[in-house]
Amino acid sequence: MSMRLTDEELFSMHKFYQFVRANSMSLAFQGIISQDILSLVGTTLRKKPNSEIVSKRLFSIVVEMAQNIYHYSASRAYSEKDKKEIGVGVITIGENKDHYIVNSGNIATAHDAISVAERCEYINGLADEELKKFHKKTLREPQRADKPGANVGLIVMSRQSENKLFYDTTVINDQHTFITLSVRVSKKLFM
Amino acid sequence: MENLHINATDYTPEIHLNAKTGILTISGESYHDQTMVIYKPVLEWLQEFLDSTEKEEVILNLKMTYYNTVSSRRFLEMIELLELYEQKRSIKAVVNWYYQKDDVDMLESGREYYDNVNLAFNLLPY
Repeated sequence: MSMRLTDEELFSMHKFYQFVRANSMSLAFQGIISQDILSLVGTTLRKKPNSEIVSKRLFSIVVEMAQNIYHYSASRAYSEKDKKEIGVGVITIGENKDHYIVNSGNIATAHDAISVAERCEYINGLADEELKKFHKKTLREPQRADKPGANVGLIVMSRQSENKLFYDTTVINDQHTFITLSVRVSKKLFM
Repeated sequence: MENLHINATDYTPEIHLNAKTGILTISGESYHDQTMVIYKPVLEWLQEFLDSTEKEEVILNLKMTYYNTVSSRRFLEMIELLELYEQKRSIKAVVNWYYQKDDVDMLESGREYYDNVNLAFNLLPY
């Protein structure tokens, strides 16, 4: 009996390896991104050779992305720990010459994908002081009835990255869209 | 009234609410994805305490190293309760916001709370 991998398996691992190498990705998660995983991410990030503030900001961005996926992803899996279905998606942490790059991707309802895109556009259109005011105003609004979040995740990601929010959408079918969010933190911050 | 003590985990803070002294302290990390699991009993305790205490002053110490956005809303809800009872029962409330002295982001977050709330509010480096 041959224990060799199929050509397809070999090829995809090779592709995966090339992809994560080319994007200098140090961490990549797919599935249920639990708090235990987040806590490991926190420990790993704090060992990176950058300023502690930047590490904390990257961690914060990962946490907010993970929580968006947990609550809003349209693709869900049963969590033994939570005893219920929770959202799944992917998160990667990588870098290029100038930036640390945190990406998230998940399937969303077409409706949610449009509202995320619109919110990114709105946030990207605000100057720093306006964004700060919008953050304050949103935080003081009453908790939305059917939403567990604070509705400020994207605002905080933009403020912490001191950058615009990059996003992309890929329509899968009438009901579902894959949404990618990319948050880029300059390596020059706090240098 | 009983004190409320909750031990810290990797992603939830240590919480100590002391009914006898009127000192409430929350410290550490806070990024539980279901914040209400942690903060619902805290908010309920605080409400009951403010309704029944004979103390004239209550102190809220927030000594966080990291918290997510949902937790920031929970902190604001606690502060709003303190604001309400300062008016309603004249219980003076003081918020002490502790930050590690190099942590400019935690200082900035404290400043933003300071701007947003109508209570005695101290920013304290450690």
